[in-house]
This record gives sequence, structure tokens and C-alpha cells, in this order.
Amino acid sequence: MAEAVIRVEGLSKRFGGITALNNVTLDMRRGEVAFIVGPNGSGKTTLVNVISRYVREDAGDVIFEGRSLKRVNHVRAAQMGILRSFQHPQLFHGLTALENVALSLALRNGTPRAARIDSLRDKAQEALETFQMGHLADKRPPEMSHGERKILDIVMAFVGRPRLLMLDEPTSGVSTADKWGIMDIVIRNAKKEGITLLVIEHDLDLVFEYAENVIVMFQGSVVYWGPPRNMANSERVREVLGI
Amino acid sequence: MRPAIVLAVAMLALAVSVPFVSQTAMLIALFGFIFSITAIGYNIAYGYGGMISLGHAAFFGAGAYTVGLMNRHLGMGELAVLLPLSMAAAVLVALPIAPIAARLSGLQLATALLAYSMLYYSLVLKLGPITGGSDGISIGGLAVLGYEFPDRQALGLFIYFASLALTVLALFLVKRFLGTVGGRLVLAARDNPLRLEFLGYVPARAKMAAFLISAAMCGLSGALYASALQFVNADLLYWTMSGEILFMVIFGGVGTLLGPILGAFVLSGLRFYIATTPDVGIYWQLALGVIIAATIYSAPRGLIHSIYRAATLIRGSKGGGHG
Ligand SMILES: Nc1ncnc2c1ncn2[C@@H]1O[C@H](COP(=O)(O)OP(=O)(O)OP(=O)(O)O)[C@@H](O)[C@H]1O
Ligand SMILES: [Mg+2]
Repeated sequence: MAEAVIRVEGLSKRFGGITALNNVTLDMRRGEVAFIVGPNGSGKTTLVNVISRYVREDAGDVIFEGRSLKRVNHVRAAQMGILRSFQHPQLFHGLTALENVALSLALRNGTPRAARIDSLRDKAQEALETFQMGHLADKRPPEMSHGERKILDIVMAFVGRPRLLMLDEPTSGVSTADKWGIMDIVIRNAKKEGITLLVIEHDLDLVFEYAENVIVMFQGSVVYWGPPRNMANSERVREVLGI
Repeated sequence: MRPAIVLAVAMLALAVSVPFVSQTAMLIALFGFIFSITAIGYNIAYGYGGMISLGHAAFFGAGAYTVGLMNRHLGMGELAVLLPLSMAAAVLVALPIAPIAARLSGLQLATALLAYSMLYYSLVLKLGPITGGSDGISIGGLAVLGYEFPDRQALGLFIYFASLALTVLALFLVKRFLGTVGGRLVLAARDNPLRLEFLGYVPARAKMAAFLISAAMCGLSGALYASALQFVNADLLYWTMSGEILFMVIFGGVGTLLGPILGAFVLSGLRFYIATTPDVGIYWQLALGVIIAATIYSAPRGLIHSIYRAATLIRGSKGGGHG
């Protein structure tokens, strides 16, 4: 009955001699919170890139809400509700944090181009407050810390009312103390809005705390896919993750 | 009242009184305002849209030649028709290259536009019987709303106040535009086009809009320029003209509201000096090159920022308002 929001089937991708994805098959049900873990270069970002249609698969298919995305590009995928943040925050450095968020809102709502950006001020401010970024509303990205930029990147994806939200290492470069705060806000809001959430994360403590399902990747292959509690039973997983 | 408003009113009063004070000052200010419209327009593409162009002479020239050709072949002298028409002509010239320009950047973009504009330069030279070739076209019988200007003086005075009014209007409209969703999209397309794509928006659309608006304004100023001189020739389409437009914006301050106007007045002043001083004409390009190099070296954000900084220092206050 519960149709998968996103399903990938036999996904493979090579870059020259490197196998970034090797026959990856996965799915997520609506509202699920899943984490991808794996060592550097194991294909985590590539998987997100393929699902968001930024990178084309060599083989396999991505099926979003029952539709193949074979002929869909990343712009169209975003319009369909596949939104993401980036390992390196992607922001508009000439705009304030508030305007960054307001622009994302405007695009999502189809706000007329002639409307004043200020007309979205309250909603954008509210979104920033939700992520405890309210005090940074008038700061531009170059004036913000790395961690603050990462959150802003997430807020921009969040306000686009994603049907699938993918976050690439939302807590990398953030202090251990702040990591928990950020992840807590992200998960809480995703749950509140019923957003299907796929997170790439290196910190296993966070993964064990928040994941409903974990995808462990190594050299482009999925070596484990299932609930976190069974993860450590697999010798292969322990080996790959060094636990 | 805020000092900025007082200053604006004072500047406006000065601008209005110039023609009645000094002929020389009026000439410099006349072309200062005409080029202000050019530079404000160019700044929309370059400063806000991040599209560096060495081909805007084509749009400036399209406006100028609209006046020249309509005047020569149809005897048209009505500025109320010619000025809007020149904007349309510039947009028409920009239209074929706009989708390409919106997808290129940096040196590729600059040179593609340079090549495109030189196409029009050679076209004008080739079609001598129609365009007057390298001799150009003399323009006569200009009028506004049926009123024919009795002499150069009256025409100059009209172009002066029209350019002043249009500069103020352009400033006002640009400021308004920047505050809209569309305006912010242009800035966002400059800052991070990829991010816009991942929000479901094609940045080339905003860039194209910025490019066409920019072309329209350059076309308008080209028409004013041709009307003021009552003459147009192919030099206006040559790439060095594009260089002068770029010069104004870099010198004054890229991506600022008032920088382009400052740059336009400096260029107008320099041009006047060159035109009225014997034996310096050959150093014109060299002088521009040296000044632009010195600017990039000593005031990379343009002269307007240096002025803001100086004003802040003089006020001795805690960091000032940039306008
Ligand atoms: N555009 C590309 N061109 C060439 N090789 C690429 C490209 N993108 C990824 N790769 C290679 O594919 C492999 C997987 O990269 P990917 O970025 O997906 O890993 P990752 O698991 O996200 O690693 P990290 O934890 O370091 O972010 C790596 O070897 C990488 O060098
Ligand atoms: Mg990665």
C-alpha cells in the first residue's frame, strides 16, 4: 500500500576508472528519515547527485513518486520537490540570509517577479527563527561562520516544501556541541512537516540516534541497508566503518 | 532631513543650474548624463547580472543609428518617437545573442559579445549607401512633440534636461527593480547560478532579462548622443566604445547605484579635455588604459567606494551608509 516516495534500481555510475555507484538499489517510504554513511569517496554524494539529477547514471533508474526520472534534469527535479543542500554550502553571497531564504520561498510559491522581496520578509524570518538563525537575518553569507552557512543552506531547501529532502553532511565543519542542536532541529522539523529525509552523515552517534534506516556504502556499493540496531551485527559494516 | 537627501537635492539644483552658468560645464554635464544612462544600463548586466560585455557598443550604436537612419531615410525628427524606437531597436539587436550571452560567462562572454558587436560595425561600413559608411550620417530637423528646435542651443538644452531627467528616472527604477523578486533573482544568478537551478529556476532567464534591459538603456542613451551631436558614425559601434562603457562602470564602481554616474562624468570630462587640447587625441586609449589599471589597483571597488570611505572618515562616525 505505502508506495515508495523514491526508489533507485540498479544504479551504476563510473568516473573514468572509478566506480562511484555500483548497482545500488534502495527505496524510502513517505516521511522516512534515512542516513547514508560510508568512508570518503564511497559514492554518497554521487548517489544524491544522481537522485537530484545533477549527475546522469550509466545504468539503472530513479523513480520518484512512481515516475521515472530518466528524462528529468536537476532543474525540473527541484520543481518536482526534490530539494537538497550541499557539502559546501551554496548560497547567494550578495544577498542577506533573509533574502536568501525569501528567494527560495518566492520560487516555491511562484511569487510574481514584480513583487517586492520584502513581502516575504515575515515568512523568511519565521523560517530562520525555526532554525535559531533569526539573529543573522541581515548578515550576508561571507559574514557568517561555516556552520551558520550550512544551516542557511538547509533552511533554503526546507522552505521549498520538499517532497524529498537530501542533506549532504549537514554537520560537517560544525563543532561537536552544535551538531546535536542542528540535527535535532532538522529532524524535528522534517517530522513535523512529514518530509522524507535522506542525510549523509559521518558522525555515527547522530546516525544511531536519529536514523530509521541506514545505508552503508563502500566503493559505490551498498553493504548494508536497514535499521541502525542491526548494523553492528554485520562484520562487513564493522570493517567498512571501522567500528 | 538626512544628509543624503540634502546632498541629493543640492546635486539636483546644481545640475539644473549648470546650463545657465557655464557653456563648458554644460557640455561636459550633457554627455555626463547621456553616458550615465549608458553606464547605469551596462551596470545592470555587469554589476548586477555578472555579465561582462565588450559588445555594448552594438546597443548604444543601435540607438544612435535608429535616429540617424530614420532621419536620413524617412525625414523623421520627432524625438518622442525616435527615443522609444531606439530602445526597441537596441533590444532587437540584443535579442539574437541574449540567450547565448545568458549562458556564457567571463572572458568567453566578453569576447563573444565583442565579436557580435563588430558584426554590426562591419555591416554599417559595408552598407555605405544606406548607412553613410565611414562618413556617417548628419541629423537635422529634430523636434519634440511637434516643436522643432530653432537652433543647436535649444536642442542641446532639451537633450540636457531630458538626459538629466532620464538619469534620475533610471536610478529610481533600478533601485526599485533591485528590491523586487525579479531584481534579487538577477543578483542570485550572478552569485550562484547553480544554486538557483537546484531551487528549480533557470538562471539564464534572469540574466536574459537583465541583458535586454541593459541593452534598451544603452540604446536610449545612444539615441540621445546622436541627437545631441546631430551626427552618427561607425565609431560608435567600434569595440573601443564598448571599452569606454566598461571603463565608466569599473572606474565608478561596479554594482553600485551611483558609481556608473560618477564614471560617466569622469569619462565625459576626459573626452572633453582630449577634444579641446591639441595633440593629445592619439593618447586617448592609452590614457583610458592607464587610468583603468590605476583604478583596479588602487580602488578595486571603484571611485564611489573611495568617496564613501572618505565621507565616513570625515564624519568620523562608525561605518557609513552605502547608497
Ligand atoms: N564529477 C566527478 N568527476 C570525477 N570523479 C568523481 C566525480 N564525482 C565523484 N567522483 C569520484 O567518485 C567517487 C565517489 O565520490 P563521492 O563524492 O560520491 O564520495 P563521497 O562518499 O561523497 O565522499 P566524501 O565523504 O569525501 O564526501 C570518488 O572517488 C570521487 O573522486
Ligand atoms: Mg560527499
